[in-house]
Amino acid sequence: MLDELANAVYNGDDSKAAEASRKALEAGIDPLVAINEGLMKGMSRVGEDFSQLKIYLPEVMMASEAMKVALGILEPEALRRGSSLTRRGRVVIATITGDIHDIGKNIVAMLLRANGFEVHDLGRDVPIDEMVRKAEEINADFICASTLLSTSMPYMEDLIALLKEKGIREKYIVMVGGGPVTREWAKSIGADGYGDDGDEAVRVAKELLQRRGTP
Amino acid sequence: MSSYRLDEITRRAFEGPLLEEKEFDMLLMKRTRELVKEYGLRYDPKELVCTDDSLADDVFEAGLMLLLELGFYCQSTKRRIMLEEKEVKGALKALPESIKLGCGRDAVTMHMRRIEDPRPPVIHAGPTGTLCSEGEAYIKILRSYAQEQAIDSIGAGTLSTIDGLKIRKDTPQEFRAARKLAWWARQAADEAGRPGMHINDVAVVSPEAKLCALDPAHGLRPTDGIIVSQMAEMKTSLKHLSLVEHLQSYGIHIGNLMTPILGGYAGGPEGTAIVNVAEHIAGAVCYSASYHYCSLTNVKNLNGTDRPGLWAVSMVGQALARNSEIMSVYDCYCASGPGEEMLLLEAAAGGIVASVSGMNVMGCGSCGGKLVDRSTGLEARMLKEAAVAAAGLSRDEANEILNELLPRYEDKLDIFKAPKGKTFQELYDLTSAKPKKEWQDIYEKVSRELAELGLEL
Repeated sequence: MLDELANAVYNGDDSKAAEASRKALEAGIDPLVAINEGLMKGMSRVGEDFSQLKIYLPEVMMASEAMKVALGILEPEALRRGSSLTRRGRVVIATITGDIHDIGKNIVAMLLRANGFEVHDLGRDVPIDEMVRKAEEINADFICASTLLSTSMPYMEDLIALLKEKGIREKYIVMVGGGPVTREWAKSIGADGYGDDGDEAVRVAKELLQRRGTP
Repeated sequence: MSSYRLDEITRRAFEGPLLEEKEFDMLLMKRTRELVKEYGLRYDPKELVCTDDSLADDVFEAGLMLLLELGFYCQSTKRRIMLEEKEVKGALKALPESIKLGCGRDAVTMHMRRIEDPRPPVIHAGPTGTLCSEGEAYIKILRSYAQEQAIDSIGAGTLSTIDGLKIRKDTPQEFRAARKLAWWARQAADEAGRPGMHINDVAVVSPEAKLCALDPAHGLRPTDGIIVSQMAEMKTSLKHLSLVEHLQSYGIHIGNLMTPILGGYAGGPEGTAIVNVAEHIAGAVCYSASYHYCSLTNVKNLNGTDRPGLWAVSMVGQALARNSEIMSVYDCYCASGPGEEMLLLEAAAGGIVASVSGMNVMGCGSCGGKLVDRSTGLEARMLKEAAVAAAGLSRDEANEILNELLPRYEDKLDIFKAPKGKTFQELYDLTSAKPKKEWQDIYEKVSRELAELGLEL
């Protein structure tokens, strides 16, 4: 049954995902188990295969949609039973000031969401103060900034400087990424994490959160 | 293009169907998948240069259909610029068969090439938007291209700093960078003894900043070129259309830059080919571009020299070569860096595919564009010479060579594995801007390897 859920997500099949979710509930499977052992496993395979380019973005988006449909059935039931749906962490993500390229950022947002993070995607060409404001408002764990342009990379440094200036640097895990951004550069500006691709970004986010002591 | 057409395009950008951008992306994704199925397109990793003419025609037809159905998306107004088949075909019919790049004795003629065309392709060489140090280092890097006799046009790296300052978009530093990029490119061409050489762009981000490079005395002349970008996929903005307006009035060549993402919204190589054909047509009609840079990028590895990427590039080239006068230029973006055999092998593969598929070439980008000063004239010489050597080969002959060539580098295309090589400063004599023996020897070695495979440079 759990495999059926995982496969429905992996294949991006909305109707099968819905059907498998209902069947799982009817069979008495705990909705949290169905989410974590079924849907998440399917999405995890999607992330791995996309990372190796065995599949492409449309398949990831379709899997993400199927997952959304299944969650729409399983989450309310979990809540009704009094389970607390702990998200992995709260993320504010955006393509930073001066850049309107957003495919990379969208991929990371999608994969984070599919891996249980609560993602607040602010879009593109987003001023750094707006990212910080949103992070404060929702009590975020992460601030993630992306760019494809070298001319927007200085704003990533500015973001970290602004957090320091406000005395809130330690509150947030800052992750950066995108075409011209390198691991070394991310380290040099004092970012906490970097991902060469979406899969690595998710892996690093999980590790950083664990290191912080949050689930 | 007359201002009349641009006025009409602007009107449609304000009055076309309203659609949120995310919805446009979804629409493009779904329709492209359908078209791949409807036309039965299938990527064949063993035949990088497809030998089936009907497939090329199908890709063209599907690309045209996609553009007509979806329109060219204007990000500023969130509206779709809808085009009619009759006007698109009319605009394509009016395209020239050849254009002149540069001026005086350094001018070259760039032709609309066809599949298996024996005429040598033109190369637009340079760091192609990758990061470079400013000042003398930049001039020397560009001179290393300009003094290669095989190279027809130079430009443009992205400066990492200007006067030691960070360059942010829409700032005085970006505008200064645009002006200096043009001056330094002109200086590099002068120093190489080719003052009339075509300069193909200044790599700054804001369309407004690009205008600072237009300067007949010291910067870009009407015989040069400026890139007007599309956003992936099939998107423009009022700023870009406004740039077109001014570039037309200046009379300079417009290069339509497309960065179709293989593995992105278009999906795999088949969908990417369809979408990129649509982007070429949109650039011909709405930007009135003289030539079109096909800068296909792999969503993960940031290169365009892997098997699916080269297949898609070839399909685009062949589709256009059989069905239009749209001059497509393959922008060869590589995973590895200078000083590495792999970069020359990637460049050779790109040159062969583009040349046999009816394209011209541009390059080379290296290291996925992530590192500074990883650009030299030598890999561009390889791109051009491989493309020239492949001109006139049959597609079968090209495939035979490619199937021997790709296994020599494709296992290292992963962004983590690709060897990054050395900087320009490490590989070149900084006085003469000529390659040091180490890099030249690697070039000779790879040339011999290619000769053994049947490609005599």
